[in-house]
Amino acid sequence: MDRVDKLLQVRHVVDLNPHIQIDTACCAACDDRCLWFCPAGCFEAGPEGIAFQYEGCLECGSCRVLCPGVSWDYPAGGRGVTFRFG
Amino acid sequence: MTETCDVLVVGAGPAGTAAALTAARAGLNVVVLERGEYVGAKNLTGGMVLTRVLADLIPDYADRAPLERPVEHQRVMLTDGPRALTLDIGNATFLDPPHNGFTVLRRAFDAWLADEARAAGAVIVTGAVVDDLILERGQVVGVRARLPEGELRASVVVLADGVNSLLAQRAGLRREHRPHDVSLGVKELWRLPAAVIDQRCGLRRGAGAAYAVIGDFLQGIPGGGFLYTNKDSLSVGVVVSPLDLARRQVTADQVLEGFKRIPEIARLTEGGQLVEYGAHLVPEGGYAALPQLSGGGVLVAGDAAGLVVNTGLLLMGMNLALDSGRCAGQAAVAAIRRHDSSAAGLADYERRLGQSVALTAMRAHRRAPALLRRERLFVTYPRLVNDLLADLVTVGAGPKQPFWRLARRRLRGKDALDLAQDAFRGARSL
Ligand SMILES: Cc1cc2nc3c(=O)[nH]c(=O)nc-3n(C[C@H](O)[C@H](O)[C@H](O)COP(=O)(O)OP(=O)(O)OC[C@H]3O[C@@H](n4cnc5c(N)ncnc54)[C@H](O)[C@@H]3O)c2cc1C
Ligand code: SF4
Repeated sequence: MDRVDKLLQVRHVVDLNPHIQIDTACCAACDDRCLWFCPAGCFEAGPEGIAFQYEGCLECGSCRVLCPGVSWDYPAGGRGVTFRFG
Repeated sequence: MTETCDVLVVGAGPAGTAAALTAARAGLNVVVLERGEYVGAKNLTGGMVLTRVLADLIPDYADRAPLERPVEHQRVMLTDGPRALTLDIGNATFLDPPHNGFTVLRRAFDAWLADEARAAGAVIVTGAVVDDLILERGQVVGVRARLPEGELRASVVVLADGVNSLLAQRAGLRREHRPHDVSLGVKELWRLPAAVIDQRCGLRRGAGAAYAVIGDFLQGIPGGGFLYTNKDSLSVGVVVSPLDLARRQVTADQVLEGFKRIPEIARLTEGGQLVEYGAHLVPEGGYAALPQLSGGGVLVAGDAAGLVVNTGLLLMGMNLALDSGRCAGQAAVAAIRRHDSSAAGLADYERRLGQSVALTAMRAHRRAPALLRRERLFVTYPRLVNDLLADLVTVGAGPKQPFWRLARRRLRGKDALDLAQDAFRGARSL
């Protein structure tokens, strides 16, 4: 099963303000680990380097711990990933 | 306007709720702030909650909690390709009180725990993100939250904000996790009729099983697969080192797909319907990575304090969260009664924790994190064991050799010293 299909099963309450910002200045010296550790596929390799999209984020915090270019905060109260079962 | 309370708890997971419940029962004025839309919205686990601490906190929990299945069978599976060796540790007495562990789904379980705290008098506010701590003369005196009130003041603040505890870092109690001190868990929930689960897992009606699996599906990445039976669903997932995912250039979800392809796992989930996918970090630094657990006006409990034990076969976090939350609640009560919530007044928390199930377990398993980073454990040994046992049950061309002779030949190729060392270390740390 494809990850995209799995992500369709996740409930998100969209926060219009991104809770994660990335500064790609550190990408040059990096092994593109974000492509592998992010369980939601929020990081993608594009023609202009790593592109980031916060919308499908599962708020696991892996990028917070593993990527020095990430500024990470919680989305607004009640927003973001909202598990129905957990 | 600034509101004031006795104890302010950040986070309504098991750690926060246990702290709130304990303090509210002692008659204190308790407020819990939770960032999720509802309690449990942000939380995800394997998982089986061990019941000893839960039973201490809420003696009649079994009659009221939204528990999925009492776990009668704990199954350890070593896989190598299509081969699987399953060790079934069954105990029928676990079906009756005092049980041993129950499978749970966190939205329902956390919501119920929160209701218990509410019934004891705690106020639980959802949709409330705490951004910062208010400090005065080095003492935490409250929090800044994304709420109309803005600031809330309290005699004691309990940080039960989970593995990504930004607040414990801001309070200077904890450093950032080192990348190899965290594991990433990804989990899927598969809906299946209860009777199908009973039948496929060989369970009497309503009884539960917990599977812990290691093998070559991990591709050498430290971690493991798990499967837990719920009433009418299966929790299926892997917990893996995110740093090693990057090293191997594979995603956690791909490891999980490999796990589900193991025939012994595939036949359990077959025909089910995927109803949720999620991910969550696990703090796995162990005893050596424990932060400072208390300071002036502040206590840290549960995942925020890194209180998780992973023996490779059993992941324990919820019971440690409940236990440390209870200790934090007790310490807050004692400090407030003495009108001393300074660092010295709250130091009692560490003493209580020192005697608790939580810290005793952390200390006992302090060698597990280093051991569990060894690749041999996840590939070589499952293969070796499957090879050895295949020799027992299969007949090749030529005369059948006695088992001991085949076994000796299989073991000869391996580094006997490694094996002996790991066996010794394993026995000491698990
Ligand atoms: C895949 C996986 C499998 C696991 N399996 C098991 C298992 O089988 N058995 C077991 O015992 N343990 C297991 N664990 C570990 C267990 O889930 C955790 O140890 C446990 O949930 C920790 O509880 P907690 O209350 O400390 O933190 P959490 O449950 O994470 O709760 C923290 C709460 O704080 C809230 N919060 C965070 N920051 C803020 C803020 N700034 N403001 C307001 N609210 C905030 C969050 O929304 C959350 O509700 C597993 C973990 C994972 C990821
Ligand atoms: S928090 Fe987790 S899911 Fe969200 S972007 Fe970072 S790694 Fe991906």
